[in-house]
Amino acid sequence: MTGTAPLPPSALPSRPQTQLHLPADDASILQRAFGWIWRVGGTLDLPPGQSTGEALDRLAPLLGTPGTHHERTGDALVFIKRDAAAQDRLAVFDSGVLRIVQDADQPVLRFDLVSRSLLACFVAPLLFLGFAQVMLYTEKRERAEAAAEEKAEKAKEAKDAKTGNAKAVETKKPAKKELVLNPIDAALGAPAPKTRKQMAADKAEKDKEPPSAKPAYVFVGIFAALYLIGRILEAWLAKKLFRKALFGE
Amino acid sequence: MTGVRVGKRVIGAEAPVTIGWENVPRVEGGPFKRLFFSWFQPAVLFGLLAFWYYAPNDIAKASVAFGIGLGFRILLFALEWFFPRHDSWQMTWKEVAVDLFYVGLGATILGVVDGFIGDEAMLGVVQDAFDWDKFAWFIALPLLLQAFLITFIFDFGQYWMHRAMHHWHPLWLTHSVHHYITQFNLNKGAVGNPIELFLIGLGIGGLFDFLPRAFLLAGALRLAIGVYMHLNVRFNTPMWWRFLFNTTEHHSVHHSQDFEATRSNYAGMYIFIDRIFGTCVDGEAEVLGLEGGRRMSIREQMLHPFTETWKSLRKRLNPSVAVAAE
Repeated sequence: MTGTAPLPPSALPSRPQTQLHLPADDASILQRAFGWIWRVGGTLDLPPGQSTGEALDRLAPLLGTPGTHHERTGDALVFIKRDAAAQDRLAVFDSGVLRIVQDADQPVLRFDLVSRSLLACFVAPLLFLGFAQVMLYTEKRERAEAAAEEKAEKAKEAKDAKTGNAKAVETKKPAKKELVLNPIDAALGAPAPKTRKQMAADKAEKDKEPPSAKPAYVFVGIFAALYLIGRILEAWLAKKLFRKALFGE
Repeated sequence: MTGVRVGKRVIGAEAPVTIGWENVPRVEGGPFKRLFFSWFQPAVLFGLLAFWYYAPNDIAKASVAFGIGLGFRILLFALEWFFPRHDSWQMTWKEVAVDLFYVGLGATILGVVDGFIGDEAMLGVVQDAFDWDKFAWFIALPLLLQAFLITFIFDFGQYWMHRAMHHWHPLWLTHSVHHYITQFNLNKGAVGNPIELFLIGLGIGGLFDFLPRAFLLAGALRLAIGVYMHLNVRFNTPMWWRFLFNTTEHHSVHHSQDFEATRSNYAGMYIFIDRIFGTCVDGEAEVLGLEGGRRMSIREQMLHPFTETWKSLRKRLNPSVAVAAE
């Protein structure tokens, strides 16, 4: 997958000066009920014989990327990221805790990562549903305005013809000329353009179709699918990255 | 870093930029791979032009053009995945999601706004005010010439708008957002502040009348030439193409972290416009971005022109506060 960031050390943005601390264990009701949307967690067995210190030493370089601030707190690494570069392999996570805990009979890495990108992707379909409503409203309004304009024009023409307003009838725009191909294109065999009548028929056909916000609905689907993919893929990639670091693969 | 003298300028003194085609790597591998990556771009260009030139009227319509464009982009997406130009530009889930957010904005709400205040709407007001019909100067020209003119008129305007964005601070505030990207891939062209996306999309092509088929051919030109600007795939692009058209190489120089290099290669499609006005730099760069490669969040991308304007105003109106804050 991605290589390391080819960014000079001077590229480091100013480090966030926040004092990092481990999150409290008593998560709020909101976190417990909906945390799965933006949190990625899991456990990973440490290689046999690897100490807590050694495991954290192996994991720490993953957090040495521009825009990442991390601290070692006892048996855990806590990090926050700000403006992580696209090349950062944990760029999707804004903060997290990598903690070594003693499971039944051996130490394991327990990670808990927070991603605002996943949350944003989760709510993006709602945003595009909103855009769909705006698109439908504007299209309906435009069509109504166009129909009213056409109706008014026809009424005026009828009135002019009835009242014998010769000047108005005279200044009426002449019918548009038929489109023709350049002789070179005709000689090369390009199809002749549609006649004005055909084009008017196409337009009338199109006008009959109901207002549509198809692009917005397509993006609703795209972001719903993207969320599902991201929620699974990013958890898998993070675990794979931690395993590689711990096992020195 | 010493940089390389190009005309009167020194390029690459602040960040790595490769200058000269002889220094740009070529696609290596078996004969089929080299053949494919050498002929892909011209084959697609001429294939699309031939298709739209001869397609019967019941096929030559916008929905078919949309389908072809989508299919072609999916193919390029696959090429980026399997044959990336740079590993550091390899797409990630987050980058795809952010890029698609901007593509989605362009296809939905920005389209609605454009319908009210975009170039077509503005030109419509002008035409109504002066009771102008469209200028029908070009409609009798050969189709391919009409298609070229549609794209050239737009690109010529875009060149000057883009150049102005790099030289006039208020416009730069809107455009700089796009320069914070640290990698190229298919949809990166859509990333930017909405004000910039609106400004860069303005053109006067709507004043002129062209045959409907010429617009389809112009779309084919735009797709087959312009799509490579932000693409993470290396091609053995022919020299005549590099002389005439903008390439990933040219545009990567424009996005490099070297200030002098960013003030080059402004055209969207036709790099010969840069050659005419002396702003073309042939070469490539891998390390992209501003502020040493700092990435901007979507929130910052949306607010940047306003927050920076506010900071500047504050500094001007009350210098002592600004100094204290710094």
